[in-house]
Amino acid sequence: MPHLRPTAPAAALTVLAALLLGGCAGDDAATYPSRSAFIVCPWAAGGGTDNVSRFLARLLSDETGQSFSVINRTGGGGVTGHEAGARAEPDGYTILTITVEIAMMRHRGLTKISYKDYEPVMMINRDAAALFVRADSPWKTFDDLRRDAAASPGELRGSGTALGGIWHLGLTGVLMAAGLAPDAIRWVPSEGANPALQELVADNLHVACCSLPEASALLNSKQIRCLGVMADERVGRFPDVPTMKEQGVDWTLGGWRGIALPGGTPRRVVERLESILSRIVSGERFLTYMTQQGFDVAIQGPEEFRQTMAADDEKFKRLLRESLGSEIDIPGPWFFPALLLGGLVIIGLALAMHGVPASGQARIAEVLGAVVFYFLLADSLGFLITASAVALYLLKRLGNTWALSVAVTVLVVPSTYALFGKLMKVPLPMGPIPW
Amino acid sequence: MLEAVTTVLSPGVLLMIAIAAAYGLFVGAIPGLTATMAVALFVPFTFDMDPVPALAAIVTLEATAIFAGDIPSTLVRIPGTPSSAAYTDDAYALTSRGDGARSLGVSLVFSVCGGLFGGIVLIFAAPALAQVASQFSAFERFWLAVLGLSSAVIVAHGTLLKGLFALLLGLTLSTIGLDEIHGLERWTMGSPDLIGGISFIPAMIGLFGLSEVLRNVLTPEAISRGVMQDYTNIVRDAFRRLRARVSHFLRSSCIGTLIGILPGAGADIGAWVSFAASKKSSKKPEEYGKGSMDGVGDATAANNSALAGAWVPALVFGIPGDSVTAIVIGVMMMKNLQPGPQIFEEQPELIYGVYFTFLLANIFLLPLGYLAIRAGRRIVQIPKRILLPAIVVFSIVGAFAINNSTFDIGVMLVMGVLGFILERYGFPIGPVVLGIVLGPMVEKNFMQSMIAADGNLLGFFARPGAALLGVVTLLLWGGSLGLAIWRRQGRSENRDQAAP
Repeated sequence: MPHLRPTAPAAALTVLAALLLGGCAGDDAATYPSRSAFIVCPWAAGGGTDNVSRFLARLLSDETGQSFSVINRTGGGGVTGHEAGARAEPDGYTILTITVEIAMMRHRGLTKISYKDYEPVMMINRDAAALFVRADSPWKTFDDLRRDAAASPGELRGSGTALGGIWHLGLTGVLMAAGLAPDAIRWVPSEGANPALQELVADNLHVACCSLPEASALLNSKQIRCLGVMADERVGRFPDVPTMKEQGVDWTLGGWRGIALPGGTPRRVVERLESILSRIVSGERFLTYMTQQGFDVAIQGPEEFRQTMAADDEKFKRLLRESLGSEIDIPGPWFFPALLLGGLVIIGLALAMHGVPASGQARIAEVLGAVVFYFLLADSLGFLITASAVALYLLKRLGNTWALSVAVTVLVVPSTYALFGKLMKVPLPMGPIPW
Repeated sequence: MLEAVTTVLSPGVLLMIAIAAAYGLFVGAIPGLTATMAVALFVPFTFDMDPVPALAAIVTLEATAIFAGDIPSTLVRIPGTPSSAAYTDDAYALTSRGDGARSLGVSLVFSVCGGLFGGIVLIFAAPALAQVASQFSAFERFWLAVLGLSSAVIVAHGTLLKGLFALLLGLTLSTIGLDEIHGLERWTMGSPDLIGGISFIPAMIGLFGLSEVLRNVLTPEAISRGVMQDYTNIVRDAFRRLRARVSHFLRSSCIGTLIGILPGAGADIGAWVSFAASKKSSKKPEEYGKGSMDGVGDATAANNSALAGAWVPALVFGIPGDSVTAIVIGVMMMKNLQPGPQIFEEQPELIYGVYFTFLLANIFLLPLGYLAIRAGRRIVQIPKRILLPAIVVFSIVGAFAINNSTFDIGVMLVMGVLGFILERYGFPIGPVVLGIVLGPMVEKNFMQSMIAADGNLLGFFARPGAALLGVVTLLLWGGSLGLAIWRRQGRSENRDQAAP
């Protein structure tokens, strides 16, 4: 059977490959972690999630003797980091600090990934949403606030995070559970809890919605008052703060953080990591740290964590429809870019007019640019305005005086319009000038 | 107070400060590594430390890193931190004239004194200033951001129109990615990488650093030996310069400290506004942008004095003014210290310890910073045919390091080409960088203000602070435009008279 005999190099390669594969597999399952690993944090250095990630990295390093380091992959409201975490090599050496936003961003059309793309390992903490008002405000209980919000819907303003962010959903949900419209208190988008609290203290906002630890400094110094926390029972470190349920509003909502591995990670690696983490989270150091930071410890194993994520995915899908359904009366997302582009075009034209006489090549570019300008803007500005701009610009650039350029433009453009548009019935774009 | 001083002066704390100073200098001098990143990496080490050395180390790290950002900025035109971007062109121009070492001496001395000034203000006025800061809302932040942007345009070399064009370009680049106000994507064309937007560190490295490499390789005669720098007496000369410019120094430090206190604004805006004020009051405004030692000194005093200010709202209200103080609050809570007014009564020795460290860190900075300047001495003497490839490698690594993303290397590349083209046609680079940095601040605060004011633009002047900042900004623009028109008129009249 000569045709079956492998050649020497191929045989060597096969053996080598088998050794490598076998080595890796055995390595992964039995002795994980056997080399340094990374924890991807989808939020910026210095924030709460980064804080927890770095602390866990430290404890994981101490526990396993391998180095665990944190990488911040920020941006896109958490999308960048969560995608990086889902698409990493599923070998257990890229770990993700997964946050509640995974249950939201899919429904905002920002990404296709969902909780199904991960192997959940453990939920670490969960902080309930709470409502805050200034200490000198007239509202002492949630009911006071509810009454005023019901009396004049849309008059009060609240903030705590971006539009459709976790605390926005908290406010929407509690309002709806109290029988009000989802936008009875208008949401002002902000970058997070800290800027919102700053606005609250500066008397530019009526309500802030965020977690208790985020507001604890202002709460302790009695500058703000908490009207209720959206949890099943009172939070340990804040025994004076009543729950919403106690005040007759059946509503809970919280943001959570946990540890997940990319989907398809071998079962035994997930189990190994879970058992290492279980030891860590039951230890003294972990519990002391979390209490001091004000984070509520909430441990859930893989299966339970998966169910929580699935339940929140459904809950937030519904809430997002309600919160983003109402229009906010501010300029749209393209207001600023349009303003800036307009400015760029105007200044660009002004610069070109002032510029030195153009060389041959530059003139070609200018002629082409003028056509592109018409192509892009004729539909919205109409033939008269766009064509006048093109004509005036080229006339001036080719060395004519201002007076002559304007005169020729005024003569040529309207007559062209009359000839083609009126006489020959060519459907030239109208724009804002009704002629 | 005395107790605080003795705590800080213990050998352990002093050693900690010295190590942190060396670490801060290193991180600040490497483009792509920021003070925030350095502090975040340091946090795990604070787990087992006492609060005073932990906070002292963070203070020192920050102060030294902001100065060290000037070193690569001056020697190879890559700002080590965004706070150096305002005067990168000036410092680098001085290097190509052989005055780079002298400029670094000025950076060092003015940084140290600016930092001391900020620390002293913190000691005497923190609670009062915190009251001012707490009144700062979206309206005021909007105007402050616009003021920062205006400064960039007004100081930029080249014409006002070109500066404005560069600024609008930077602002447009900042709108790429997820619009967090509306929760919608802009300009991303479905690319998941672009959702995160254009990160300003790779953009800055490309615009300043790579574009300079491109320009150098284009002209072969430029690829020669670097310009020799004169290193004699740089510190003494800088002190002499400081004595001659005390009033300018005080103005710059006040601007820096005040802007630092305001939540959401920091060392980078402080440097820009101070640089603009410096140019406006200078007898030699034409030098700005082309190598003004006065401008470098004033801006660098401002960015260091701003650091102490950012701690004011953090300590007094627990509201962080920037990302470093956000980490500080986390470290304090870990040590069972709750920031807020009560901490001044309960833990005065800790608060005074932090204040005192601000003074001490800046005193440490003087000799260590000088050593760092000396260490950079060799860099400019390296022949460019060796230096340029090294800068390219550094640019690549620096762009990657901030977010561990290969995509950011692409951003750096595109920005490098953009910077090259812009400079070739006489457009300034600084305003592009500032546009990218401040764009989100302008837009978000504008939108928040619009909601708060129910769409009424007069609301932007309804609060006293906002009205003041708004009027100052409008006057600045009115004045600059008026001046430009008046000059044009004057020129054309001269031409008319000369014609017959």
